[in-house]
Amino acid sequence: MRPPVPTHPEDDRLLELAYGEVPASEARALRQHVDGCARCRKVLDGISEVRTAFRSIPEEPAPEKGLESLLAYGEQAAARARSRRGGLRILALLSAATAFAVVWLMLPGSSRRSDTLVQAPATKPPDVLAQAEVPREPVQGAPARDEADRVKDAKENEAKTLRRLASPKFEPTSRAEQAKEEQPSPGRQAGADQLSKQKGVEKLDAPREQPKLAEAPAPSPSDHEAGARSAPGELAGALGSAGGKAAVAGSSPVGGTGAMTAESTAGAAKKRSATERADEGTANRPSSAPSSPPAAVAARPPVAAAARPENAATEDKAAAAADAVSAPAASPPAKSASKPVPPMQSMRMGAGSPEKQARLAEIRRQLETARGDQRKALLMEKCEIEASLELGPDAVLTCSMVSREFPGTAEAKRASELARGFSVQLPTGSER
Amino acid sequence: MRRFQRGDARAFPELVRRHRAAVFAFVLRWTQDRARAEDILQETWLKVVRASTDWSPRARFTTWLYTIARNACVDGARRERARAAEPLEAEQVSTESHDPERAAAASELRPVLEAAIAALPDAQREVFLLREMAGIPFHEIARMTGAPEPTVKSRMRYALEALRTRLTEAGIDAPAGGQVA
Repeated sequence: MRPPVPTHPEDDRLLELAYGEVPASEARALRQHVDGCARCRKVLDGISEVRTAFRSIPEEPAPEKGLESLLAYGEQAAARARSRRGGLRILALLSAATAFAVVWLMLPGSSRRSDTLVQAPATKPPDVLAQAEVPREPVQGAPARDEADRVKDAKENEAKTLRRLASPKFEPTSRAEQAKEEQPSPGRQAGADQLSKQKGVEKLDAPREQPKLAEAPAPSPSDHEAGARSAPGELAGALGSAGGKAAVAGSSPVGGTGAMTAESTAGAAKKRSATERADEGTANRPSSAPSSPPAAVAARPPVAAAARPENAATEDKAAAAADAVSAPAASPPAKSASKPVPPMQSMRMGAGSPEKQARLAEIRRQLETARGDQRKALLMEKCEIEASLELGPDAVLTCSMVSREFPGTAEAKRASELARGFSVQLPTGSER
Repeated sequence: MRRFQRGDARAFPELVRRHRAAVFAFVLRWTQDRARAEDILQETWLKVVRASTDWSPRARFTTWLYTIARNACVDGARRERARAAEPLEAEQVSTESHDPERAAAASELRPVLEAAIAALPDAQREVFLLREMAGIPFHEIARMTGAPEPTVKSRMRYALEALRTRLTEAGIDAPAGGQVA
């Protein structure tokens, strides 16, 4: 606090006093001085005089001109400010959401991805399998899923043998059938397209050849089995990879593409089964069915067995299953010993085929119970008969059973030689 | 002003209602020309809208507003000076010239005072109008104008002295009412 001003204050100080810019305490001291000082009072009065005169003049009213447009402009600016704030708020929310998503993807990535991967095949493939297996006829022996798994496991090793089987000698029994086999149904093609999108061309090419060869001889219940076996295997792989990709992508395609693929492939499997059922119906008609069901049924397991002799126990199961399936299918030929063989079948089998076929039927029947050397002899005889009849797939199948079940024996060597005649190299047992 | 920055559409009309007349009076007294004052008034408020995002609550709104108005006046005066160099100068000067006696006789105080303000040097008029009409403290006027605060106060004193002399010369006594703070 300043003491009372003994001398005249500066004019600037008086000016500040006149405009109220002096602190209250100092203002009181100044006023005390001004009250007792004529000079200072004159200065202050002069300022007040002008101010009073100035304030006595009424203010000019602001013009209305331009006011409306000015207010509209201000309103627009306010709206822009609102939207800017809203945009910033949205941006902030989006940034936060993105950051959260990134953190969610990065931190628990492994567990989340594995969950997705587990979920993807667990939800869809069972439906696919169920749908694909519905038209399948019951098969004796191992459950269908086991078969599918086993076939999937054996695929790689089968590939070589299957390529050999693709030699000209292993052409399907008729060109019509071959054409039928090589022409995929639209549904199947659609499924294959879907799969190719998911798996890539190189993955799809190999499985495409295998079913063709496996199914090549003729449609039969076990053909359905083989087809169904391979299809779900492919589906599982495709869905697995699709689920994996989708999981890596971390977006909705998990349910979208994956589900679509599963459904379309299931549809393809259904259509295929329907086509095969139709084929089966056609094939079962004696007059127009140039088929050899036993060979067709048995074609697949021995191939796997030839490729993977180390899995003898498993292969035995497959062979047993194939035999079990083929047995009832083979019974008609056995009955056909008394009945005349259809002309087409006779032509296919060659001269003297009725007797040989009757013998083959007899051998098949005996093989159901035969063990040890008796089985070896029967298999060998069957192998030789089929080879003599140029029944390539059947011969290779039987010969492979000899070489697998009785490795290292003279019969195994002989069977290997016979199979080599059909461009198939069988293990004799001595190489193991 | 903070509400307006946040996008409150009702805030701007409120600001206009409160300050537009005072700003217009300030500009009119600065320019001594109604048409120019109207233009500058509009220009001032448009600048307020455009620069609203730049305004910080640390500054008083009136100080910020009158700074804009003052700068608009200065720019306008500069343009007028450039135009005054042209042939129309004589005519314009003649319109701005006035006869204090006739004005005082006609309507007493206002014309005398308006003329006295118009006759002030720009720097003195500026400080006088900013302090008297806008109510901006001297230290802020110093910041606005870039002049030292003592200089601003000196200009103010000179302006007040000149106006008082003019009023006395016009035979107009200041209305009684004592001190105005």
